Amino acid sequence: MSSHREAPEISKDPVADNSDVYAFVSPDAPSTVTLIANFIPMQNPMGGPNFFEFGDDVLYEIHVCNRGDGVPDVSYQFRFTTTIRNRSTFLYNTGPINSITDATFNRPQTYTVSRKVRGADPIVLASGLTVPPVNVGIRSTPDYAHFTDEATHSLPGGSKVFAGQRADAFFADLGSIFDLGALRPFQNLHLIPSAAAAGVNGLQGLNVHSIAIQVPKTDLTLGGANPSDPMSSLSVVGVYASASRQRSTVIDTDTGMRVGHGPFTQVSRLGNPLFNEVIVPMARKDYWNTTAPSKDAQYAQYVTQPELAGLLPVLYPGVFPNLQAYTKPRADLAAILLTGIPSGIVSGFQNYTGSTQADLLRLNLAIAPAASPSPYGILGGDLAGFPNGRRVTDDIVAIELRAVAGATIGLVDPSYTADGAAGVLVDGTSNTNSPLLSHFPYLGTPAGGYQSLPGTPAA
Amino acid sequence: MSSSTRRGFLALSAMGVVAVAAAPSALAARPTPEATDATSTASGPVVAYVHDAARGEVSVMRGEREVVVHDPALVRLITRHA
Repeated sequence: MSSHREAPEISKDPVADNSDVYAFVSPDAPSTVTLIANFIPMQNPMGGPNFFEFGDDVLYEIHVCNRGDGVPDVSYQFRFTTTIRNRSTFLYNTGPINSITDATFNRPQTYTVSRKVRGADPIVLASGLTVPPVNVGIRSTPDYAHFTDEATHSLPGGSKVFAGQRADAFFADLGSIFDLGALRPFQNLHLIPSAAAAGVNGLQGLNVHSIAIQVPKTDLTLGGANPSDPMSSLSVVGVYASASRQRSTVIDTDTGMRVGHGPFTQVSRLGNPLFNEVIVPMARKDYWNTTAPSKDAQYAQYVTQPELAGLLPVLYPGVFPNLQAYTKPRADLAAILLTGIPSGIVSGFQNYTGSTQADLLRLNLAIAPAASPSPYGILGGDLAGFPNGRRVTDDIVAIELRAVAGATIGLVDPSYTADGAAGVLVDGTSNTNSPLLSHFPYLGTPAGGYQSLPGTPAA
Repeated sequence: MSSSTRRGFLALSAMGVVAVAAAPSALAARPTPEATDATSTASGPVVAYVHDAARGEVSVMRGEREVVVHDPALVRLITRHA
């Protein structure tokens, strides 16, 4: 969750595992959009030696679709290069790293960022951009927070970019949810009951590697339009991220390293959080990661007849009678996840991209950032939040649980009355990692290896 | 999941049954024909991949390129040494 290790194959390849995607109008720079893609999920900061790093052999991309067919119109591509400064030591750092360009940083990474427009070759925006080290500890990376600004690079045209380790802002009670769908605050009502309890953030203390880019809105819209009318189709873009590897991998016995051959082929993708995780069935998850969003009509049946909606009344007997009795295809979920919400459903809002069904994070760029964001996004009356794009503060688990439980059926089927529980479902968690930043790249300082403490095992 | 019932769920739990659908073999990696570049003399390692010898096709990969060649004789030669 939200797409951390969500499919069997990609769970074996964390360097290419896309765990979260965010897309939102930048609250402190509202003429711009911030796009963030996280990879290498579930990093235990004390898991030294410290080899959490981007893959030199992975093509990372953030895609933006603005024509309604689910095909990328603008893609930002990121390629990384790792060097070893001192090949005769085992040390990640040979002394304190006070600046990310210090010679004591023994395994630095740099990257190239390119912009590809549909039908054209990629254009390099910048290269040789530095990546900060991971947060090793108070002796190795004594003033880690200042690396954030040091690793935020300006790009031509007023854009900026950051790539490096951050605190994971996603929060969910993973241990409980994957124990037969238990939500601790409601587990007294579970089929296998226990006393209600507070949620436990399973992502607490864990880091990710983030790629964040902030660009003018006009860099993403069709024809460079400056979106001002929320009801205009030109104001909506679809976003997803991907990771690709070369089609063939050979282990070079001369070096012990894996070497790729052939064209890059997609091995991970992510638009809406939890799509592959809880919508796509086990046997198709790996294939889903290789397919393009424009071909997502083949998964529509899992959206309109979601397995989880059938499980909730079973796992929580008597709690969801109306949901249990509802047999129509879930047009509400199809709109939220596959086409965007058409106009006329939510007053003053739409993020419809046409009839092509594609798992994209759809962002209406003409909706201004909220002065007081609701963690429940549109369900909380805040049009600037999920499923209008996704902000780092949105409580994705609660929003999607409520939607699947029927809280959004009434938007498209006024004859339906949602069960009382549907509107209050939560897993009881919140972001318990480092505080978010109020500015780019917004995600908090990663937890340090020395400073962090192990969890509490129990069996 | 329309087939979900409380009784059915409990029965599955009690039996410890896990149902796993077979992965569709048709979804396995399949070479895509691309324009050939017979004049290429670029150096570097080359990977040849025969996914299905009966098709008489070999996928040849070098760098970031892949060319699918229909050459039953070449496929027979490769498979004979495999």
